[in-house]
Amino acid sequence: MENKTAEKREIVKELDLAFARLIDRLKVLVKSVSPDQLYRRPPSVTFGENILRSAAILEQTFGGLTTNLWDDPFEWTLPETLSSQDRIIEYLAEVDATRERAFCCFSDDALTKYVSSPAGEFVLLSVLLDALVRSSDYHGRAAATVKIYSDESMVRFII
Amino acid sequence: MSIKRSSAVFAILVCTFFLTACPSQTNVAKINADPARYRGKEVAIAGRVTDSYGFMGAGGYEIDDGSGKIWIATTRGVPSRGAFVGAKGYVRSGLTFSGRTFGTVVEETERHVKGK
Repeated sequence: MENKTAEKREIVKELDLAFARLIDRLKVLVKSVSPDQLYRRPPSVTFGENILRSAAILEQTFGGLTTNLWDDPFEWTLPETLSSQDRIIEYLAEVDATRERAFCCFSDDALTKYVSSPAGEFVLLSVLLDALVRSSDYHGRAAATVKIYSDESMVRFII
Repeated sequence: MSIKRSSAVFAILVCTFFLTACPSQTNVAKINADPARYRGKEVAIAGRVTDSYGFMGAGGYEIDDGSGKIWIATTRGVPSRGAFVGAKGYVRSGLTFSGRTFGTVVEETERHVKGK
């Protein structure tokens, strides 16, 4: 019986791991920059904003799926509010907690069921994959910004 | 014969009235499990208020009927937490109301609070 239950969460476990890894990567990125690089312009969308957008997508999705409230985290993820690396890391820990709450209730069977989101009714799996793709995209942009910063310092070093 | 026929017609009319006019008494788990099936339909739910928010009469409250939780959007003020409420309303999806965005929500048309 236990095996049967475990089998039913195989896909869910893989998805959960993918989200957990993404949040870990966001944390590592945040720790990798210096405080002045967090919201430095250019680029027009800063490193920190990309990190916050990536995390906000996850929070909105997991919050929506667990509480049926799909509030946009825009208001509490402003750079003014999350102004330091420590605060961003704290916020990422909160996002991670919402991930845990959401995934503890999912089963593989539930992945094919419809859920209501602000954009309409979709299969749970598609909602999760959409969140993973969109969030990963912002993570990628943040990583690219870090690359720009490191290239800049390399050029300065050479000159 | 005509009395029988008119009684039958009357019975059909009464049944039709009750079947179309009354919201379906259901539970939250059924709505959450298949929101598309209930979208736009009037439902009746009874349970305890577990959460609420509101401003100037408009807001929402969350009902737990034992099978699950669902938000009810209202313009008539929100009941306090812990109150036992029976609510009727229409199931909506992706509704933004009074500053909050809901996945599945019941737009309240009628409410009864136990003890009132």
